[in-house]
Amino acid sequence: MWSISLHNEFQLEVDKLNSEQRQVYDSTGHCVVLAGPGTGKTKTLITKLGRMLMEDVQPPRGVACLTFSNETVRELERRLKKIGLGQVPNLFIGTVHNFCMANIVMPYGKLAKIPLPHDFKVASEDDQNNCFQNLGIYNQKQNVVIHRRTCLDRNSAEWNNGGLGELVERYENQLHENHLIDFDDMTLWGLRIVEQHEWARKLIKARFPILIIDEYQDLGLPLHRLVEILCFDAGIRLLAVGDPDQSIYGFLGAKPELLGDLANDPRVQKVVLKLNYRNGRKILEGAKKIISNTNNECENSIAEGEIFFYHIPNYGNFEGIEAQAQYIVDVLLPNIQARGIGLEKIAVLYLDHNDGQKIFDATQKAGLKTIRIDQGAHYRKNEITRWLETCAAWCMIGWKNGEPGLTELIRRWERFFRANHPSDSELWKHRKNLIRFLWNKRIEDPKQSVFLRDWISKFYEGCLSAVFYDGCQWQAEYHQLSQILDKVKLGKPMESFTVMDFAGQIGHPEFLNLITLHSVKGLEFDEVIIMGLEEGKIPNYYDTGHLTKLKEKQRLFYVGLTRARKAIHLVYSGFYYDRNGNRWEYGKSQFVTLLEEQINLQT
Amino acid sequence: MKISRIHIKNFRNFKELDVNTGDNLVIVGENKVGKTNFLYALRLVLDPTLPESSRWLEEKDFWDGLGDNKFSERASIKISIDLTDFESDDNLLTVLAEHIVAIDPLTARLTYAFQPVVKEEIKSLEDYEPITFGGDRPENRFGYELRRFIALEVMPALRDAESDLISSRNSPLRRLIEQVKAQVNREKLKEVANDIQSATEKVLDIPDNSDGTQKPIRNTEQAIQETLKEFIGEIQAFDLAFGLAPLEAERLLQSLRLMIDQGKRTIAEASTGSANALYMVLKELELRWIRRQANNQRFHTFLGIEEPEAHLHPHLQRQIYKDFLRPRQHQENPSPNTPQISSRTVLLTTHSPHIVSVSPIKSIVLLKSIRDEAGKLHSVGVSAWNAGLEKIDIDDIERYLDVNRGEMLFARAVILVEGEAELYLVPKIAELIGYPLEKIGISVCSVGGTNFLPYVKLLGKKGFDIPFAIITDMDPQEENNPPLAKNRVSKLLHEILIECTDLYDTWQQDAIQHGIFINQHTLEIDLFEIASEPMCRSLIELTENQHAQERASKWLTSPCSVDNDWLIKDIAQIGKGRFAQRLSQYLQPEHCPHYIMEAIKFVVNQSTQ
Repeated sequence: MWSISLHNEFQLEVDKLNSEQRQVYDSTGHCVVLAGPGTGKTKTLITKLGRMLMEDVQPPRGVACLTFSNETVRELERRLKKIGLGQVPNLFIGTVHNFCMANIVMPYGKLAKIPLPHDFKVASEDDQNNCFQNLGIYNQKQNVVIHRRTCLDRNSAEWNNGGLGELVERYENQLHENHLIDFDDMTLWGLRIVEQHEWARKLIKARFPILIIDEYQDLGLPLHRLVEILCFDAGIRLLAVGDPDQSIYGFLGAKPELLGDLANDPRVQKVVLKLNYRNGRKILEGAKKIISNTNNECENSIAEGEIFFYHIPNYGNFEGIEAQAQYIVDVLLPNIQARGIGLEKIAVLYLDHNDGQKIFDATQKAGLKTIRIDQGAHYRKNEITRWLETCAAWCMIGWKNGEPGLTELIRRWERFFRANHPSDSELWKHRKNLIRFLWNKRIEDPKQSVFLRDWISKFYEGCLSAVFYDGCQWQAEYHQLSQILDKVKLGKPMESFTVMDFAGQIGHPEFLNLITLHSVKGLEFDEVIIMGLEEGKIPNYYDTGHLTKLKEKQRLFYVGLTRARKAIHLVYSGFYYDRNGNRWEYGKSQFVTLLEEQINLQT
Repeated sequence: MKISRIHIKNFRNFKELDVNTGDNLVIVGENKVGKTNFLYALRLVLDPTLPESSRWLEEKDFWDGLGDNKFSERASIKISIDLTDFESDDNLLTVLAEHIVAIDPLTARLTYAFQPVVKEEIKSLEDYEPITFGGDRPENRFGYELRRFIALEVMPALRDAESDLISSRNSPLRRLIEQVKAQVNREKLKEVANDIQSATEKVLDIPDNSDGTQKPIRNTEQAIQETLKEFIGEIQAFDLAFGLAPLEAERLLQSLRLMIDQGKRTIAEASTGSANALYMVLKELELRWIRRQANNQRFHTFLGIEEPEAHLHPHLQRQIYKDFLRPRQHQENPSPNTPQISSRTVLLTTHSPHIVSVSPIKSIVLLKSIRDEAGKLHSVGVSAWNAGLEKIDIDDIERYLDVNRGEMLFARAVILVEGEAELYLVPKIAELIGYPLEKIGISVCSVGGTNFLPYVKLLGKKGFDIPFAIITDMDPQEENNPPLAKNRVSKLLHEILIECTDLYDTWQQDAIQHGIFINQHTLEIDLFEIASEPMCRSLIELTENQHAQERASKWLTSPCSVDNDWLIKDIAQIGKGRFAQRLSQYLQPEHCPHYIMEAIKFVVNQSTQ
């Protein structure tokens, strides 16, 4: 019999719950939590999860906890480990795709006669693009993808939509003929199975009488349908957590109104977490100016907070976005640091990797260490690169203090390795190999620099090549890995990277955070700088006439603002150059104007 | 929940066994046919107490017929168990939800495989490994986390029931006492422990029987202690004392013994049979107790019992297992609204006809050794599950087996006859023509009439697949009506020949070809044509009817004058069985009717093929 041993921290967390959070903790039926920024969403979720595991489900029954991305899965796992729910066999944590694949499609796909391609692999983005290109519909990709995610009834009149439905089907056929499936297949098939088969719903309910969903606002229509069927038809108990105001993935098919609808369903208990423990008073007031109908309120003990505006058309020899970048590096950052705030507690946020490149170049020139999360970064943060970083961190420090722990590293690696359906002895052999490698690469003195290129190429040859190779199950991951392997070579951009630099990518002091507005969700910093706030860019020129799109940009800006605890710095030039070098001058972003009015009103 | 199908490949006796099963399992077969191996195969899948190392098999565990190239040919051992009837139990549904292979009826499959690893060339056993997985998906592994919920426990053949009962670590008595421990009042227990201590003192202090100055028990105790010191030295010597029971309250309960004969004797002195019966009782109690526990972590128990007949009186065997093998649905949970699913399934191996005779016919799995196309011996399993038996057939056969002690299922071949007369005559005739049926392993079974069909289903290819012949009467009818045998044979042929169309004109030849042997009239009339002399003598000896005696005397001298109607009547008056018994004493080879000899030869031939 396994029993859950909750740490003392669990009780401490429970004791600290406020009355709103407590409502969730005490809920007994379907519960939907609307949680604004800084309202202790994750804390509420994990304490409730702990209680459910202790009181509401008996093994072998379990709880399925689904969320948006591998990144959020990691964060949840980290938090759960802290309160003693590190490795609970009857708790499933994963993305919606993972869940559909592991617990619906794989066990029941054959029985439900899902046309799973034989011996399939998961398509990488390149694979998907190739399919679109082969069909000659690459320019339609975005529309096809969104249509597939948002029109679920393929017998409806809406499905055809000017031939879009047919394009979806052609794309799917092309993919499956190549023995590939993509992430949307996983959710759509999962949905189809539970929609059509009562027995499947019954079996899923038997295993998971409770379903928890985090970041509900980002998850789109297929998941929403899945939840409706599993929870309202099949009777699985639901705990959904999210914030419609932070829904910023409309361009991927997310619909912020779904969470609102769910919360107002008479069958669920709706709890709104209002008390904000994060943002300074002024920052929150400003944010509410952007999203007017939000319920967020400042908790009493929170500091005043500051909003600063910087109109930087020129600086030194620079103009526009480059001037902003230089100004941030030369003036803003030293000022903030002078207040005793370390670089790791500061984030510079921007719209996209083009702006990211500007600030990155400026920081490099000044010799600052950075963590960059955008498409222009040396590598993307995803499951494999995060894992590699964690391995590096173990070699640096983890082997001494257990943070990160070896067990977790191995567990992740086994997940990768199991895709090959290895025999137990093979698994054992390669696990030994992995541990031996990491053990030999322990770094005694953190100041000693070991180049990443040596470390990672040996790692690849010695261990990783067994799992990641051309044609392997993990095409996307393999692609990422080979990019890093290439970029660390002499003469390439990451040549001077050390294992320490690489490991430090995990919240290490002295690293400045450079992150796009989209990627910053869920994080928080003492002071936040948002640059490139030009009208025409944020919001986009084309968005301004389109209410839904404009609202999504409002939410995006809102997400950026609400990352800051103490101060927010808004930087703009009043003009910008587009990709073709054309200069556009629409002044500062309308969002900035709104905030300025707010501040002036107060003073 | 029940096991609906078992599939064993390349394991020990089994090249490929595939048998449908239901409810409890009674595994029957000759010695060495693999009954124990059959249970062991299931243990590899489901026994949580089997050490993991046992799942690493050895070369001798492969079916012998695989020969020397088995490794290079990547032979693998595979054992699959299909489970059904768990849908209404939430616990079982939860445990098995990942392992489903069919929806209607909902079926889960659990598999153990001992197979080569992924490798270019497989050279030896070292390249093999065991895996257990569910739902036909090798990546979907399961292990202890499933076996703790759904477990197979095997009680080995009780060679020494009393010691198993008392001292074995897994003694059900021990576990029951463990459970009692939690319930008793600790204070009282301590008081009793003190009482025992003072009683013990008193025993030790009993004086001698001469002048009463000595304490013989104490003296002996001291002598042991002293001698021990001499032997192993002062320092290493340990404390010794006589005692009646451990004095610690905790241990006191463990020293409880079951006593028989009003406490005069311990169970060790009981007959092995009684101990054996008691063992079963305690085991059942233990399982019931597990089921009642609030935090019950065992949702279903498959209880394997090996040869429970050992030392049990036949009457007791029948008594115990008659009920044990039938689901007792309403005894523990009398509420009619909640159909109670038995959470224990019995799988027992036996060669006791007494147990077989009381087993539900669909529980019986018959293991038999056959030769494959290459002449290699292997064991297969058959059951009545696909025999197409109707409820009414089953009742019929179960009653029959009950009365006839299940003999039919142990036979290498069976001769089915109509009644008692053939029961006596057929073995005798066989002996006369040189086939001692008993020695060959052929049973003669009377169906008590002409309803052969249920038996043909049972013994046929879809049933237990035991070779058989039928001996039946023509029963000609008056005028132009066809003989009764025609319709009877037609039905049987329809069952035997799966693709049988209508009855042909050649039905009599077809019948013989498929083992149905028919006379011209009825047994007695046909027999009279060649055996009038011994028949008449038997009649004369047995009948108390004056007229009958006269008729028989007449027929003895003039067989042609026989009147068939009177012949039948006179024999019936004596009793066909009694008559046949007497007649068999006088039969000589020349008295054997052709159709019976043919039937015997047919069946002997079939049984030795």
